[in-house]
Amino acid sequence: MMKLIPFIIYILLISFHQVMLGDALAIYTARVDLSGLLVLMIAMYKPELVAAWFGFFAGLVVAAATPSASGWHALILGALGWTAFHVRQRLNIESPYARILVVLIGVLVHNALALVLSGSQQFLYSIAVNALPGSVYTTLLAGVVFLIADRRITYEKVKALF
Amino acid sequence: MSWLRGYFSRFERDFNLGLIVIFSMVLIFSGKAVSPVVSGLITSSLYKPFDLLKSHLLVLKGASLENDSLRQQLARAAVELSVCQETKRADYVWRSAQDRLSRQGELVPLSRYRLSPGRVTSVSHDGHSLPVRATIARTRGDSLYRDQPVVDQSGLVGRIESVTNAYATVQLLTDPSSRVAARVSSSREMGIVKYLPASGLVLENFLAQGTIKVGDTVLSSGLGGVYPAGLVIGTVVHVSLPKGNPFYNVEVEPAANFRSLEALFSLTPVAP
Repeated sequence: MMKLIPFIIYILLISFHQVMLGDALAIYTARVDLSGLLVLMIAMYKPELVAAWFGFFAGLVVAAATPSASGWHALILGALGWTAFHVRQRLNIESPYARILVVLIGVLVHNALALVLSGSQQFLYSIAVNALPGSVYTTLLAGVVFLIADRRITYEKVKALF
Repeated sequence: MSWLRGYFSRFERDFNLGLIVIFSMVLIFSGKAVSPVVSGLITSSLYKPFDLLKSHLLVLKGASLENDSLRQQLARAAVELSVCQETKRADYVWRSAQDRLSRQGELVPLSRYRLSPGRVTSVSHDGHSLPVRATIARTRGDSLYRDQPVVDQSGLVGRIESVTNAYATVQLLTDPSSRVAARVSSSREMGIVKYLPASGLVLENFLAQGTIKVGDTVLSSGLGGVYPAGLVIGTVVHVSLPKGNPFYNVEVEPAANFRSLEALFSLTPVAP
């Protein structure tokens, strides 16, 4: 049960992001894809099944407002977690830059598939205006998270700057 | 039973992935049977608390904006009331004592003033117990300048000492170097209000021949050209006349609360 607590917190964070945080963090058309980011982060650090199941539940939460697409979102995010895990395993990714690249591609794919699901009329335009800036923004955020997770940024180091 | 457990552990990975695919397919192809129920459950359990929080925050934000607007209206009403009362008193005085008419002639109707709001961003005490200066954030369209009178909803607060593009510094009445030409509302007699760190706000140069009592309201007299007449400075709380002294010692309780300065309003003259 204790092992589930972080994942419950991540799910709550995704809900919070969907309802409130998303609008606050958005910079023009660039929105943080928190669900994609969390699924990819979990795939980078946790086993395959954990990533896949978390992706499934994250997809359900993300698409709670659009019930007709919830199955697709759950499947996409589950598959994203599973794929990211295998990319990490096969390529033996250790470098933070490689992880960031995986996050960028993963988030971009997730955003593009979400656009397909929403039936966007001007697909390429939406990719350029919404998906790409959002993916870059999310990747920047992921870079910071990776640096913190790898202890390259610590409280002591930040404190030493001042 | 053990063979079943062994079977599941051997195919655990495939079993889990299969479950994910099956659940997803059920949600995709069930139409309106399953997915709305699942989404409804998630919405009511995960989204609703944050949605409530968001709506409460929006209500608070609206209340804050309304509060600012009401505070401005209150300040305007307080200034206008103060002016009306002053006009009434002046009118009475003019009618009753012809010789004072000339002294009331310079009264400025405050309807000729526009209130520009400014939120206090910092105060400086400079070693005193009460703040002596306040910095207010400028708002778009204000026209602040040096020596502009500043009030809050209770009364006179001070004058603008300096102005930059983003901020203005207000010299408060509690600055020992501040002076305001004042008048006691009931007797119409005049003095100068200043702040002494030891005894607080005092009305100086009030002649011993004058009439003053505890509870009298002290107003700006309009003399000196900085403050218009009729702004409430405070209330007389102590009066004494030391033997042989030509002036009263008058202590004044300021109308404005200098410990909780929040929103101030500068008075900008407008063309009649």
